[in-house]
Amino acid sequence: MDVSTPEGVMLAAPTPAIDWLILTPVIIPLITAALLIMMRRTVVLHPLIAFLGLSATIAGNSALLWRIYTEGPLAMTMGNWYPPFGISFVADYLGVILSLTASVTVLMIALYAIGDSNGRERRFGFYPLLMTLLVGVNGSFLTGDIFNLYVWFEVFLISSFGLIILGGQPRQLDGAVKYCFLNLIATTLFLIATGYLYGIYGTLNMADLSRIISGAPFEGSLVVVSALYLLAFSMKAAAFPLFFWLPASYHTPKIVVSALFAGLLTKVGVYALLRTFTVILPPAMDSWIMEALLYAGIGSMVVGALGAVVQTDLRRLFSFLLVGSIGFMMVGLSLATEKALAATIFYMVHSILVMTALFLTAGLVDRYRGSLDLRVLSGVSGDLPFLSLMFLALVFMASGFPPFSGFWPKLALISESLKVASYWGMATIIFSSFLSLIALGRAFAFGFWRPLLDEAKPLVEDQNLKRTKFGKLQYLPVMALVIMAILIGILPSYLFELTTLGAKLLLNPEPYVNAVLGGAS
Amino acid sequence: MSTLILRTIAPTLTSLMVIYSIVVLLSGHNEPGGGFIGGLIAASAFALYGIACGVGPVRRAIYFHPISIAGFGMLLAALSGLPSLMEGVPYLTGVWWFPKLSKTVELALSTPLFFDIGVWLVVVGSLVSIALALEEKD
Repeated sequence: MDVSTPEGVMLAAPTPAIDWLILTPVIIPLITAALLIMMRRTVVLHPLIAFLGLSATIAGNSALLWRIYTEGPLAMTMGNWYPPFGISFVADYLGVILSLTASVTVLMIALYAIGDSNGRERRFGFYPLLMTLLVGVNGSFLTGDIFNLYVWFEVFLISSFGLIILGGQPRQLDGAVKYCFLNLIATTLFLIATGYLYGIYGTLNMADLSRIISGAPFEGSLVVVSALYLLAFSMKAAAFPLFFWLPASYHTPKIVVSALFAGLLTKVGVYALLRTFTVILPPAMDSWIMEALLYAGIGSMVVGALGAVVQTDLRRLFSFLLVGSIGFMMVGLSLATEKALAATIFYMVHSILVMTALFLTAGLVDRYRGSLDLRVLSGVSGDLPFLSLMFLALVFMASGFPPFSGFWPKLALISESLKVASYWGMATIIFSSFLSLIALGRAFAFGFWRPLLDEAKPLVEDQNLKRTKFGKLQYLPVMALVIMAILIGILPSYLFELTTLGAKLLLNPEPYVNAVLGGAS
Repeated sequence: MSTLILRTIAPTLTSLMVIYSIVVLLSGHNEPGGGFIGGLIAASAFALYGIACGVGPVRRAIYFHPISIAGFGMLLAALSGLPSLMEGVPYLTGVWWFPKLSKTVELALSTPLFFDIGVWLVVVGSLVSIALALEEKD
């Protein structure tokens, strides 16, 4: 055997096998997806194989987190090309924390879907699409090349197009058209901005860009590129004023698919904003971009909270809450201090877990009630006390009650806002949390607490017949997500330690750059 | 579309096109060609066969479901990056074998070749699947 070595292009140092951990969050789901696609005749085995693949992914991901915790950021450039030319994968805290959270969430979704997807949906590729979506999301979190980020965006978008129309009802196609159209516009803007960036600097490697751009004045073409990225990623993240596609489409697919999207997809947009405006384009941190992010964040929080208060459909209510939660992250990014960024990453982890759990709870309610309309929905706590208890815990988490997980990042964001004298942001955080509590409290009081209404009784009788043998198993993922969120809330210091390290690396990307380019360049 | 002339020539033409697509696939490393373009040629061959003789014969001829073929291609492409682990170089680095078939004939095998075969299978599988779905509706 012989390794091809064209002269002058190759790296001399051998790659230790442990560095391959950086690939596990992408390669294991990819191989699992390929196996699942090949086994389209034996869809009965799909959940088992997906479960094994996802468990291996989580193991790899955890090991990777341990590796960067002990030895600092890790990079690998594919095909042994010298970094700015080859495509690099870089594992830093931000990326690895988020990809670990994403893998865990997808595992929960896969478990929930065992009792929720029929043979037809599995033959149409529910599990393979789930795995390729994870490939795309994890790839986005770990790639160190901005064009490659675009490719991973495409990978998870195409998977999400397939998932959103699973079921094939006209209403789903209507939601899918809005979703696809807006996302395609955002992706095109992303691509145009990346084209400009390459035209100006001649490189797309994030570390290389960071090295070249840091210290450059924020003017001319850099402003254009930043504005385009801001627009494209805000659209993806469903931030004000470009959020309207999300409540218009997220209530149409299967509930388990809504839960998956709500947990992961908007967060990839926020991740891209975090990465772009700190590591890749450092001059943007002292510019009007941060103010734009602040006002977009304030707008998202206000619109999300007000929208949630008036909705009667449980899933639409959660969709607006999701828009509001994006606002918190954008305000966190706009403050651009170490503590604020740490709180933002913390909030992202919290939001992924809690949003997914909220939608899955809605799925369970729908299974037993056949309706998510708060005008009819009633008496859930009588039949399903345990589910109601979990929902109550999620209400407290999502609205930021101490000592639940939403409280700590909000507290940190408020204290940081005070420090940099950003009073509007602080006031909106408090106002929006209060309104979220009203919206969710209303959902709990109407749907769960009040006695069963007469007009809802026939629905209940009808639905009880549909309980399947996997009904009990579906509690497990919701329970696991709630327990994880509670643990984060009770013991926030562990996660805060990691996210603070992540924030440090965003504000001072030197170790990140050195991991990719080596000390020499 | 199903005329006597087309039905007579289609099987021959299809086999020639598939052979040519494999030639394009294998020459792709050093010359113009490769898995993607080769896959397109093979997919158009199966599409032509479908137009001439119907969708059923195509499905029987390729035996596996086209989507499964695409899945196998994806697996092959993903796995072709792994042998470089043994060599201590990053993922997807080209690794070569030169097995000697006789004293003078040497075969050049490499991981890029298997990657390209994977791409070929993905393109064939997904495009044949689309083409057959479109032809079935008519």
